[in-house]
Amino acid sequence: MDVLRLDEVSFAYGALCVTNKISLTLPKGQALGVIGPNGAGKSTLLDLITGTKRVASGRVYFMGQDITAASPQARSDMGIARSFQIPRPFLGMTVYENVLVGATHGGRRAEAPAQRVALRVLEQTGLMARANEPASKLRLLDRKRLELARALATEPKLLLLDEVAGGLSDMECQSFIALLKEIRDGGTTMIWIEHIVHALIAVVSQLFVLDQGARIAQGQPTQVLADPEVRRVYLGIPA
Amino acid sequence: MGATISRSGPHGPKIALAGAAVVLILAALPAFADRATLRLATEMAGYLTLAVMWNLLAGYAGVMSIGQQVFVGLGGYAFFVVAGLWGVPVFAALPLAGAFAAFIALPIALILFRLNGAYFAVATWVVAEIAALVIAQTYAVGGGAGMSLPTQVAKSLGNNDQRSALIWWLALALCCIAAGLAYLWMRSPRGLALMAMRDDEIAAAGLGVSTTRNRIMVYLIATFITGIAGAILFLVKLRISPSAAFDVNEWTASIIFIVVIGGLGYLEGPLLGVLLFFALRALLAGFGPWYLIALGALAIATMLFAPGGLWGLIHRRFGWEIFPVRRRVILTNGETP
Repeated sequence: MDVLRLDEVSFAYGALCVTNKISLTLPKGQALGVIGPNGAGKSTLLDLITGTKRVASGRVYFMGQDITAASPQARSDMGIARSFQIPRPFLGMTVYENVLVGATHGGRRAEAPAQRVALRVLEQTGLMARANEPASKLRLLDRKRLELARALATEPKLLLLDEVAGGLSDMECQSFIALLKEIRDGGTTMIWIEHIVHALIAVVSQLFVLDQGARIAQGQPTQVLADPEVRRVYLGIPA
Repeated sequence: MGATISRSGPHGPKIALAGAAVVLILAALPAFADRATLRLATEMAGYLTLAVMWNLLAGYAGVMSIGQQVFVGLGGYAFFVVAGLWGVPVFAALPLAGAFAAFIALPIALILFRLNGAYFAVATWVVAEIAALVIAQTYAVGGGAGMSLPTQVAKSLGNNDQRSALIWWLALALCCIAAGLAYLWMRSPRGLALMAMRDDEIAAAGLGVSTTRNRIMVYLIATFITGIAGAILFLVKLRISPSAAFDVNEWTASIIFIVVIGGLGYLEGPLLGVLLFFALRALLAGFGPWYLIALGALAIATMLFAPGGLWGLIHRRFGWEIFPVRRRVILTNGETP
């Protein structure tokens, strides 16, 4: 079954069309990479899937169910989780408590089973050593890890990642790639927005290219990156 | 690498024992204190109850209400009507007063929770002023002049000494219930959700937290308790009027002072704040308006230089916790990460 299906989804800020009739089908277990220039509407696309923003027209289906009108909280309950491009940790809480929010509320679990999930995710994302630190003390890499950890703690069916590798050193980026591969191989369907293309194509099997709110290409990463239109729009290379 | 979660603070059992001892001593107060002292203690317990609830709203749920006096007033009036006019026994009238406050709070919440930050705060004050005006126009409850509690209601609680003791026990019990409720709430996953919402509402909703429902639930509980506290505070006075019942200085400004100075967002904060507030009030009583100016200056200085209040300073310095609501990861080899 398809995990996610977007049917001619549009969104606009007043007259500015940010998402223009995007259609997309995501089979179970697929990792989809999204690239596009700044302002192409990539993060907005994730907002429309999580329900943070409501579509102006079109439909959103998750696991075959129409969720176009569902609240962000209901979508989280159904199994959609995201990490924000600019990390939004709960600054007054510890790293463990941050992750526990996802495990209890996103996962609809009682505290005891949620505890086990949270501890496992901390281990998996390499944050165990910082578990008791206030989130406000974390550096960028760890804030990005925390974004991912909170999302994973909801045990999502669909994981949405927004530039988790941006701003990281090569070493840090490699460890992130390994982590994401592990999550992908665990069967989690994911959409990953990323500017660091080599990191992206190490993980995803499909690329989706956005420009000015519309799809300009989709397919195998190598084919898509060789597409003259993609090279012109995204890499600035004249066709 | 295994790990477990610890919920108790460093001296958990000792603190619990000390707390129980303090409550027992306070409960025995009528045996050795005179009526004036009991009256003051009752007033302090009432203020503390209001402060604990305001702290739960502002410090944890991110609900900045400056109109809580509306629920003190409505609770007080509901009690006077139910016990005074309808003759319902005092012990049944108190929860009814709280229930009435919460009943009125529900539509207020559904409308005002659409507003954010300062807009919400101002709107709560407007609602409180409207309620005061409506009550002042309602002649069944004495209009602007207010009403007295019929003597037979006061007499139903025994003679003067018995009544003072009984009301003190009621106030103390309500205060313990309020603190216990706030503590259990904040320890539960609901409390975790409240803290998450306060820190980042969009991220919390994205992680499955039912933000609106959580906020409304905590608001209803706070208004229920606030209403009962209002009923007890006016049961002591035996008289209620719109200007006293809906007094923003008395029931909101003082309470904010208590919470801010004690430590906003610490369950221990109001305890410390209420002691300091009453000490300052006694000390500065002879200085007229300077008293309020001094309190205001102190509150502003606290917000600027010690945003966690007095308890925040103590907590950071010594790590003390009376009500541990946080969770600490402990690795099975005994270390904390």
